[in-house]
Amino acid sequence: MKALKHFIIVNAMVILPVIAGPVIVGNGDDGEDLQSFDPIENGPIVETRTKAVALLKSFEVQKIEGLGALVPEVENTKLFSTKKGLGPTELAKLGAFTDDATGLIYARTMPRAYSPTRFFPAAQKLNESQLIALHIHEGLHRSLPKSIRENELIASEITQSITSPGASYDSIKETVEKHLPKEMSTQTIVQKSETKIIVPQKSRLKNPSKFGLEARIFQQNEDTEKATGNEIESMYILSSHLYPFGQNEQAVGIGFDASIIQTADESFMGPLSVGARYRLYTHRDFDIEGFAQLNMNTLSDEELQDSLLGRDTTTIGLTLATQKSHFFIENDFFYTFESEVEEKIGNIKYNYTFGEILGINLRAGVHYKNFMFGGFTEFLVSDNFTVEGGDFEDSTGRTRIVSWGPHLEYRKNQYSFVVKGRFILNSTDNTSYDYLADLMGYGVGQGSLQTQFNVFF
Amino acid sequence: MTAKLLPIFLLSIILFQSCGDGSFESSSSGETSEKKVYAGGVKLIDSSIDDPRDPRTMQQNSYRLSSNRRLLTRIEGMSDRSERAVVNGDERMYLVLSSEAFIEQRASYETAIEICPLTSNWMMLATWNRAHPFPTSRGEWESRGGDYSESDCVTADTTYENPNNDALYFDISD
Repeated sequence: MKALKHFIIVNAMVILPVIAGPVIVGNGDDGEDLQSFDPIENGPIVETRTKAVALLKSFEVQKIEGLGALVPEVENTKLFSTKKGLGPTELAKLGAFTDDATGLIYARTMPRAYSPTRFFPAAQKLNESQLIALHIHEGLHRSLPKSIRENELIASEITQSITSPGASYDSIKETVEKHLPKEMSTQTIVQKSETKIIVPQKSRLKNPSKFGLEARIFQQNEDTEKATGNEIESMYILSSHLYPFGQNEQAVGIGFDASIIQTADESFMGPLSVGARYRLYTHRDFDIEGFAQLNMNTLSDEELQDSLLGRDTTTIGLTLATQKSHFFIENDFFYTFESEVEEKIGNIKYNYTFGEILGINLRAGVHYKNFMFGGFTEFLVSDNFTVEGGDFEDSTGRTRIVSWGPHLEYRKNQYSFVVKGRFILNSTDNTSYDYLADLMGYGVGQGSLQTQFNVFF
Repeated sequence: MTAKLLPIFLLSIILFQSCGDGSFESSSSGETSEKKVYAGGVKLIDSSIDDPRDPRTMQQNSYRLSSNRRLLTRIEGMSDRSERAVVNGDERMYLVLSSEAFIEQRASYETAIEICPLTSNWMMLATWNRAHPFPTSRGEWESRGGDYSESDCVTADTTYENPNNDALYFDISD
């Protein structure tokens, strides 16, 4: 059985004293009778529909629970009028009911989304404000929660709260809340509490943008220079990570890091990094962020490009972080894609292939006044590093590198000064960071000491 | 292969007496026909040079050899060509070293220089101590100065009818 309902506005709304009277809702058709109506494409009914939409938008009713679909319903419903000569008997066959008092029928719709609205001859006698109210009233029958949308009294009361001279967002909201089903109100509260983003006071999300300067002093050994051909002593990085899109809690950050490499003899351009970070989810004070970083040697000096360290790296990962009043914990899970670089030695071109890297980085620290003391430990598993050129080929197999490092930070307002380190704790065959070939990410040699000055905003 | 012993200036060449491809340089003298290919990879290892990228150890016109200075050489892509190389009683494979120094002191160089087959693979970053600098088990030579088969070392073939006095021919066919 088609349980569709239609509505007859025999008494458009309470504010229309001329046509005041009881409201009747009766069983109706399923819309198959539209051939009995002509579409309305212009005239007062169309014009007042536009004004009704403007009125609804002026109150931002889409933000009121239960009225979220009202504006699109009023705005998009197809408008029809009865054909001339349609008599009361025919109207009755179409499911039209009459007002006991006046017998006037103004419009009809069905209590489901996107149903058309059909206007009857009596509607032509309504003035502008009455027609606006009529549009809103019919829209409510299609957009209110199912359990109340067929209730003419509720639809009329809400219509009045919107169209009355003293209407406001709060008064409309109050009227709607009064009639919302209890289970829906409860559900709404629950949903709100689950989606509410509570950003800890010290979270990075409070001041996501950062401008910083960093210096890294590398701990080299003889093997590093032999393998890489570069005696890199230090590296200087200029960072600018900006979050121009979205609000703080939903900000999308894009960052750039440019570097200068210092060797024993000279300095030259190092890798350039482009990264993005976005908060994916916050739950129970935990932030889950996604990030991606591309470290490129496109602008690097040729000396670096044509060496073991010249490869580009692409890393994606997730950060799980929580900030409490006295401590923080952050876990990174990341994956670096395989890539390769070519170096010509003598007459022979050698191709270095760096396998994919899977990594876990655990950071934690405690806050004391303006200081933060902490550190990190990191577990990296790098797939095959392969050297191939001429008739030579060799590979290291899967490599494990376990790192650690202390972190001391002084932060006041939006400024911070950081001293931290990164050192290899254990690795397969004493493998160094050289064989990860990610200067911007891990550096070279056995590790590095780092200092940073950052401005957050 | 490694060339060792005695101070000498030399240039390494290999010679095929066999069917070759277009990259070979052909010449003939009397009844002897030569097809030559130049060694692509030549690397000097010196006990006093620890930097694998030291420019003195590669791409030089000449190298001075001694008891602690050896020359590693290889015909790159040899494995691709080996199926087309025929070695028998009539067709032999020689490694040829050339130097103007051979012209005046040929006899002493003929016995002082040995060509030996290497038993470990190496790359252009090889040094006196390592076959390559990367952290694998095959990175270090088992013996400093390179791993080679001493019993298979050969000296210059003095019977080869050399049209040029500045070259020594080492028969490496066997």
